[in-house]
Amino acid sequence: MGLENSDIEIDHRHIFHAAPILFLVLKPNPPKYTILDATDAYCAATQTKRSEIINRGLFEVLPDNPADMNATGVSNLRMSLNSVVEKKQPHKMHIQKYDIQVTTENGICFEERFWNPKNSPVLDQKNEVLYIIHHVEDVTASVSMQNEIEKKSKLIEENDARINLILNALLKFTTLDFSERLKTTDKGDELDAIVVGLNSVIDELENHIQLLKNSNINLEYANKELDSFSYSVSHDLRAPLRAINGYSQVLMEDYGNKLDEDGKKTINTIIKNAFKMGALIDDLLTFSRVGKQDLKKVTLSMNSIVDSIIREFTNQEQKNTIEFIVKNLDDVEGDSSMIKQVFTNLISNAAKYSGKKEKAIIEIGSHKEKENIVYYVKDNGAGFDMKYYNKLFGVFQRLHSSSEFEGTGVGLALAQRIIKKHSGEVWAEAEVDKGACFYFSIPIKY
Amino acid sequence: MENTIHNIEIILVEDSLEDANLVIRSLKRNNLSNSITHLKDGAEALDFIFAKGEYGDRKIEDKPKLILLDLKMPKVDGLQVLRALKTDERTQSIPVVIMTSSREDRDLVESYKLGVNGYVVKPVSFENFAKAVAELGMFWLMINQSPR
Repeated sequence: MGLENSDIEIDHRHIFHAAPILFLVLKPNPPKYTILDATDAYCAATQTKRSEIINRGLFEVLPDNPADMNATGVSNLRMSLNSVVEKKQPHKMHIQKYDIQVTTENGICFEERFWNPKNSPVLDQKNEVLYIIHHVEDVTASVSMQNEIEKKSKLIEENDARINLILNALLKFTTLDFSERLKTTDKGDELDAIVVGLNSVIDELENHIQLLKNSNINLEYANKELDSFSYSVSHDLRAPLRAINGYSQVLMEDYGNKLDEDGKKTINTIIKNAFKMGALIDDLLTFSRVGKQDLKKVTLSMNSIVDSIIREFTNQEQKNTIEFIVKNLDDVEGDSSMIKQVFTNLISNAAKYSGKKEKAIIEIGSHKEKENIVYYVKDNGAGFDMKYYNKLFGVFQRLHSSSEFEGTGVGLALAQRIIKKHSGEVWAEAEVDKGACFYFSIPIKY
Repeated sequence: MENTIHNIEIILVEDSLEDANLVIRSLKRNNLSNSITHLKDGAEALDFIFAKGEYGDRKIEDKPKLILLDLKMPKVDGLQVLRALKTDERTQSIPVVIMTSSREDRDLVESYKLGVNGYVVKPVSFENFAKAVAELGMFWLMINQSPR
């Protein structure tokens, strides 16, 4: 306070107080370090009043946060100040956590603060330390932002790891391996919700798969029963039939000359019917066998299949009375012998039911329809009444009497069973005396 | 040697007397009935072929030219007889034809695994049955050459 090298009177103390920096002037009297002065900015940042801190020891005014067991603010600052007193050199400290006391509604408590302090000695002419200037900046905002960023990136890393675990588990689940369950964390966040949801889906899925397995076992058992049933049917029913047929024949051969016409006719009826029953049993067994068989899929040349069937046909008497029109047929994947069976049944049906026409015409063709290839066998024969369509594909169902047209009533049912096994459909259109057209479709890829 | 009891041509193993008679009748009709021996089940067949029990005075070396074997028989079934025949060096060269009532894939596969020489399904129709038997007899007795 007075004139120095200038005419202008300057109130240094006032200027010091008003300087927009955080300064504290300390007495170099360890371990107390008495506070001699402070800028307004410092008082504001530490929420202190100059009048209340002047002449008090630094660490009395600014103690460590008793709630922070790891607080190092006091000890680090003391070390720095000690070194300034000893070495008479400025000392710049690393960023320090040094909480301050604030007065709130609930009384006095500590608030987290970060600082980057620098302590510098003020020396006299004898190079003795007169004061220590303690200069700090409040870096709490940038430190907490940094902390926030670190926390977030750590969280992202953690979540990435958790997502990876979930993805790995999903990959396992796709192979129906449910040996492990995902674990939730104590976070209770969206990922945990996904894990909980996924686990319950897996539980449910596992339950259902177990149920399916059980019913599969039952089905297998039922299949085996059916298998042994058809085995004994085929064996045990055929044997007595053979005897009926055979011994009727023996009777005819050995005693035929002792029988009159009626007697011979009676025996022939027995033979014919035993034969027919044999055919029925055979057809029924073929029908049940198709149900059991696995498909052996290959690409089929439909034209060569149809041609071979027709060649076998034209060896017989129908040779001259049937005209076959075979279009260019689309090829498809399927079981060769089964599809041949379908065509054989449809073509022989067509031949049978048009047998009474003077000139029978049987047309076989195909076309693409959406994802399927549709094949048809069309004749100009007896046809049938669409009224009875629902009986057409039933086993042992016939729309014509045996005296009219021979047959066991298994052919179409068998065809339908085979096509269903190929994931296709069978259907027909017909009109009495104008012919029938049978269709079947097979998916191009199934 | 030709027609003595020790020179059996065909052995028919069949539990159904009715079927057996039809087979014999068909063979007779085709003059293939020189020496048919009918055995009523698998156990009797094994005794006969391996010269045991009531057939103890036979010689295993007197091999038949053909064995017609039914599958489904009481006591010892056809597959068991076939297995015994085809796993014994003394008998494995005898031609065996299975004659059965039904075509069951598992029987067919098993029979061929065991080394059967033929597998015939007896047709219901007598005419077809007679024809099948006659052709069988003809082939194995007249045409086929077996190691002796």
